[in-house]
Amino acid sequence: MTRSSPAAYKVLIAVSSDKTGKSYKPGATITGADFPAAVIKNWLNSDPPVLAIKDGD
Amino acid sequence: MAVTPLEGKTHTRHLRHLSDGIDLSGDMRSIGAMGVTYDQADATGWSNGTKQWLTGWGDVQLTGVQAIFNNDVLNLALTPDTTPGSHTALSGETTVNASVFVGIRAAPAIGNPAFSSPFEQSAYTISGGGSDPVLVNAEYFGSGTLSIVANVWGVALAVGGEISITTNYGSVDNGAASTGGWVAFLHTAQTSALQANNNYAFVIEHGTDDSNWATLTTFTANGSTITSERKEGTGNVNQYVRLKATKTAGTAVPWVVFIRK
Repeated sequence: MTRSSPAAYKVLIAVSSDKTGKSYKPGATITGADFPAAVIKNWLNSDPPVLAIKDGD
Repeated sequence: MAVTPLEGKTHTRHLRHLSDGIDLSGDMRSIGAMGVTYDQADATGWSNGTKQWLTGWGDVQLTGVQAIFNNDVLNLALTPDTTPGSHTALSGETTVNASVFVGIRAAPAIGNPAFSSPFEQSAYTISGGGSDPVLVNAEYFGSGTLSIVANVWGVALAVGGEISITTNYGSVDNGAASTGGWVAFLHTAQTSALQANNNYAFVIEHGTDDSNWATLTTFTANGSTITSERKEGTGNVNQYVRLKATKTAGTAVPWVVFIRK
């Protein structure tokens, strides 16, 4: 069985989007619809990480 | 949105100097040297065809600072002028964050080169003679009490214009991400209205695409006092960086230097 990519992420460091005007503080949950996939990938892999994959969703 | 800073040669008149949030540019006359020099140990052996050198300790310097003597005090009444003078700012200084912004053929702009470091003031003298104005002279060397690194050259993210609303400053495109960490300096200079009424959150953000941003660091200084603050961090810095100033109250005059390590 192949596990699908998780769609929800926990915000560890505050993020925002100029395009949508939305901002999210640490502890908030975002989804793949809130930011481009490349940006989310960068934030998951950055040092320190900006997002964490949220379990249980 | 990323700025397109001017490039090329420039003139001394386009420099600006801030010391712990005080803009001394109106009194400044010259700077002898700013930057880093390294000790060099001669490691040449008999069989070497040329001299061999080993680099030693770095020496961070801001020397030959010369300004016109000015004893204007911090003017809480805000009239007729609002800028503390050179003597007020520099006499008796000990440990300071000092920055020099290098405008390119114009007043400094976002993206222009900027120099910044914590310093100990090692000398303050005044001089005069003949028909010359009285001058102040100061020397600074890298601080032994504040964290200091040899990374002293960066770019300006804010250059002192007064704001009265929440502001996303223009971003600076480094061309690529960096991984070695960073240093940032904020000066909150005097505002045209009562300083104590100001309340802003100053945040440096970074991003990969100049549109989506993550917080890199948040300064404690909020613009309610004339002061400076230094932040340092490790890890990634994305290709684009910018300053975001979020208003709660009042106005603000931030100057920011950002240095990639």
